[in-house]
Amino acid sequence: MNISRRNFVKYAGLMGGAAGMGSLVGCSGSGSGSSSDSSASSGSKIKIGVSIWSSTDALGKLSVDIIQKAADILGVEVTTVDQGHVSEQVTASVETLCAAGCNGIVICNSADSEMTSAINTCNDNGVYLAQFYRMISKDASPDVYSLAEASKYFVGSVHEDEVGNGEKLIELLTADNADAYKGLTKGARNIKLEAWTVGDATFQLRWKGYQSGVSTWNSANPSDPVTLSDPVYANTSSSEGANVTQQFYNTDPKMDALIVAGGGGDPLVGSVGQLANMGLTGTIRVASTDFLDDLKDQLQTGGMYCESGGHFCDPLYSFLMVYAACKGNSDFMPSAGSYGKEILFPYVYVSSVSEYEDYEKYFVDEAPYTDDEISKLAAMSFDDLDKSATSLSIEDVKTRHA
Amino acid sequence: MEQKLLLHAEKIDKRFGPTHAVNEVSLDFLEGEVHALIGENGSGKSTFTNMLTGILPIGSGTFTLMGHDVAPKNQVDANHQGIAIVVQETGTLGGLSVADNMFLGDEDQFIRRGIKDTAAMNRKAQELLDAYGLGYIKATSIIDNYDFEDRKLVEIVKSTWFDPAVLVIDETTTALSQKGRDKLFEVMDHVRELGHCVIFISHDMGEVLKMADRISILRDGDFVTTVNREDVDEDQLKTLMVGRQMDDHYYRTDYPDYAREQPGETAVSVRGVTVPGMIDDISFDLHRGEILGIGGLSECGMHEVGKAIFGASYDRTGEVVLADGTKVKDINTAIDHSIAYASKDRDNESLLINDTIEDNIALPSMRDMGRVLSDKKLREFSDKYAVLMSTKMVSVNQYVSALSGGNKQKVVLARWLGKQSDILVLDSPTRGIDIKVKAAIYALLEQMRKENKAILIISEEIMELLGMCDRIFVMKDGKINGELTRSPELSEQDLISKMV
Amino acid sequence: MELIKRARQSQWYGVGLLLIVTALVWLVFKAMCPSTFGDPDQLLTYLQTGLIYAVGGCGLYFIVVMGLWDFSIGSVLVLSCLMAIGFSQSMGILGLIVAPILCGALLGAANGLAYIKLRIPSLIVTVGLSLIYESLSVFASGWSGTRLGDAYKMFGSYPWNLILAVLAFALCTFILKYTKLGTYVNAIGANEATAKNMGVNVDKYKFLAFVLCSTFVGIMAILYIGYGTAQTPMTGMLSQSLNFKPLMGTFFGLAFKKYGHPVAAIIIGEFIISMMFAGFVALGMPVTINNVVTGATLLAIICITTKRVKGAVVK
Repeated sequence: MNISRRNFVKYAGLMGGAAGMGSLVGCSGSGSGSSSDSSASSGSKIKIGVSIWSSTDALGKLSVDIIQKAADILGVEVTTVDQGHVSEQVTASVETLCAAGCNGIVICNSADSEMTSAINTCNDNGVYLAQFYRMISKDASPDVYSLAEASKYFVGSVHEDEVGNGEKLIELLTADNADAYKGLTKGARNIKLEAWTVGDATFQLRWKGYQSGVSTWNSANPSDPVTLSDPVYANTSSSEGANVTQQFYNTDPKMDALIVAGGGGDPLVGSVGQLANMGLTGTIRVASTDFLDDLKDQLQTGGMYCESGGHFCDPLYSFLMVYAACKGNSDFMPSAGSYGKEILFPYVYVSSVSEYEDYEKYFVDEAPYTDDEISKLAAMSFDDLDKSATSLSIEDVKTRHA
Repeated sequence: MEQKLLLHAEKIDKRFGPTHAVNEVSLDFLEGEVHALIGENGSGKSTFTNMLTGILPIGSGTFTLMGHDVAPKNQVDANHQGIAIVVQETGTLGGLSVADNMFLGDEDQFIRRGIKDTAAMNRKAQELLDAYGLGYIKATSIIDNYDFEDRKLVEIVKSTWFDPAVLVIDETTTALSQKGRDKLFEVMDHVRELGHCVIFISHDMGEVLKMADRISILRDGDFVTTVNREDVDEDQLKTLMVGRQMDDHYYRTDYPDYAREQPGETAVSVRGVTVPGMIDDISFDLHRGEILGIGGLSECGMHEVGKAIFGASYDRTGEVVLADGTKVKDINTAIDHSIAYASKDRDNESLLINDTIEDNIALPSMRDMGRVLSDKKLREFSDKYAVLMSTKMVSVNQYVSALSGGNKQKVVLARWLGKQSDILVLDSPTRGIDIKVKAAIYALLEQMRKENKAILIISEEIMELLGMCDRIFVMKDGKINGELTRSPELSEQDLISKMV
Repeated sequence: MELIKRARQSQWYGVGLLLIVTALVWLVFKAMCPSTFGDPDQLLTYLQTGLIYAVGGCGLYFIVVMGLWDFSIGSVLVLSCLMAIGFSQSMGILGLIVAPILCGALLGAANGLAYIKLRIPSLIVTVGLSLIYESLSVFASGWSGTRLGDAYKMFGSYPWNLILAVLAFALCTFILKYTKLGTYVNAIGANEATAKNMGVNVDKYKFLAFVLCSTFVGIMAILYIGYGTAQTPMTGMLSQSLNFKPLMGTFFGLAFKKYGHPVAAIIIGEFIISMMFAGFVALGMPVTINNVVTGATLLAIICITTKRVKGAVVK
């Protein structure tokens, strides 16, 4: 279509003006709609948004499912946005959810810097915000931390001690274990590290933990040192996981342990599969985070040595905190000057078949929380909620569901 | 012996929107003849033959070949019906082998059960090339390994090996060297001897009178007349084409006395300009108030000289210096210092084909029109110079692609008129243009010369150089091989002797 | 000089050049890590991943040589992998092989049809459709699961991966050299208008090229899932990251097309990339260095083999 310059300028101007008018109306509309507060008055349904990297990978799906379960029990509407841990998309997801009329948002961001925009957007829209699987670092991001403190809408963070997770996995890998699969009884000394995405915040913390664990061991055992390789990245692909593992072994057949730090499950499957192809199952200890579906079989055959995981209820607690804030529960409503609530969520560590069987019974086959328990959690004070979260373990569920 | 009718065109008609390109033209083509089709640009001859050869669908009317109506859907379909064309532009495809190009669209003869017998195709292609005396071209080679002329020769083989009943040669000769033209004429003679017909479209009246048996003239889409070759001369043909007597003032008529007159101020000095593989140590001065010509065979390197002066030559050593000492090293400097350039490759290097006449004319002048462009100002500017050049157009908003060749060239010249350029480098300024527009361009150049502009014409048309230039450099193999001065005694032979 | 000139005219010049580059890369890494890189059995492991992406690169070649783009191949790969997983459970090896190929062919047909009917740039069409395929993969994973059964991993290792890959390469070579389609995709890429004028049904052959491209991606999926054994659906355009490894091989094919053996160039190109990755792992180099060097090598090879004319229009 030929369009003259004059007409183009005319139409562009008209469209630009219309767009400008539209956005002004929209902004003022949403602003005024939620400028007072976002607590749902009696009669209107609470809507909570979920901003997550992926709602379809192993951990992502579990996370969304547990939130949805709680939402169904509590009569809350949930909207999910996948942002792939791409910074721009993380930021956009918060704007999208606010624009969609959410009263609260739970978010698993990628980097702390994204929280600046997320908190500001929620402040502007009067939407409560909490993190899951994440915490803003006071040391690394003091400005963002201050912003969170100053916000009246930042409810808090539920996160894991990823550094501790890393240390614990190293502890498990390096220790001798007479009860382990027969080829894996000796503690590992030559550990290879397979990561997923360069710069991922979770990986950075876990890596710190692995390094700290290695350092602790080497200090205590100077004559019997452990080496940990630099990470090689397999993204989130099983094929790349397999390739990385293959190249690790090719370049150093003396490796006796592999940490697959994460990546949604596929890289671990690829790595374990590749070791099987190479006939190395049961000769190299494999550790990871986020339980595989067939972890039991892998533990039985020596395909896996230990895993941390089972923390998929983290988002549940984040959701409950935001829900409570939306309901006007003063214990959860943030005040300017304090960071908000922090829950340090425990991992479950599994390094034997019997441990996994217990986990499977209480976390997979049955839910770790019944509907009633969830309803009760929703009405708890923060201290009780925190206690409930931090005490979650196989034993805890056994006791509650005995 | 009376020749029989081979092809009859009955009221062939074609419109492109408001343009009536071919107006119910009826023509007869006989067995065993070379039938020239001439006319100004926009007269409809290419449109007529494009419909015959399947490049364009027929608007209305019929072609009847050997008693059967034909309406080819594409060139290959035309070939199957005994009609072939050799076009002016490149008709071969890079990345394919010579054999693939020769049989493109016609591979079915080599296909058995879905599998192409590439070896058989290559063999047949090589046999044909050998038969045409082109054995140095290898059928299995990628066509990119060959230059434009060899690729054109491959096209000639492709279009004629099956002895088409009707062969259309559409302004092909302008792009060929003498060797290429000789080969083409050989093929045309062969087709004639077989009792078939060649429809020969050319602007070169000398060639037309040399090769054609009969000549048909079209003007503005209408059929004018058909004449026998022996009954007309060049001037009569030109008159028939334009519809009026061509007076003597086609070229310049003045012959300055160079012994008495000093050349004008030097506008551009070319010093030791070399482009590896193309031109070698070229030096000359171009003066104000002068038309300087450079001529030679098509590959002598003269076209590169024009690019070098305009700063469009990327491997150039040597200097191009203006009167104020500025050294021209890039196009922006050239334009800023009032140099204009019209490339031989008009469509690809001088025109924004898929853009308006307005943009084409105004573009280099936009830098002088402020940061924010005024639509009105641009339109008025372009309109003024388009009208000055008598460009046949609907409006300046029309796309250049819709214009005839002559009008496209007018747009190019209008652009530089608008830029008030003082130094004009014009490469093949009247190539593929009808004589009426040619005459207008010559008149314009003469006017500009009188206005003290410096004009360099690079041309393969000897008559143009003889007719218009004050001085002529003849190039051969990348070097200047002779300098000739304008005089009534200067002849084609003088130039040719320096070219070859 | 004379020898080099004559060598350049040989149709094996391009392949020869690539083999020299391969040898050079091998030598460099071998010198730096003699004991951990480049032994014959290690070379086979480098080839293993190279083969997977080379098959995809062959399919993409049909598209890119025409000047088009197909940015849906990542999502096609994911969905085809899930089809392989699902149908292998119900139909065994037949399902493992036929399902992803058929899936690829159907999605390719959808791409081709959309491109031809919508008449908008192929890049836009295929990116848009990839979002749809990503969503379909979410549904598919709900039915198929995301893990390939152990009994069906044979195409992830020798000899079956090599057999399948060689068949794919032979098919690609055959199509390019011995069918009209092979001639016409080159012709359309060279000059679509002229090709049309020669009676080439441009729309038909573009459609077929899209079908072929995704069919080869379907074959690639058999190798890919056999090697990795798991595939989670990818949404939010994350599958785009899977487009680029096969595309790198395609670039090698394009750069060396003029020497007449694009398939060989694709295979060797992917092998070089795979070998470089392994070399960097052997060196313990961070991934950033790996990516920089790999990118620079790719650019260098393309620059050496592409005739770059000063002042020419490059898009």
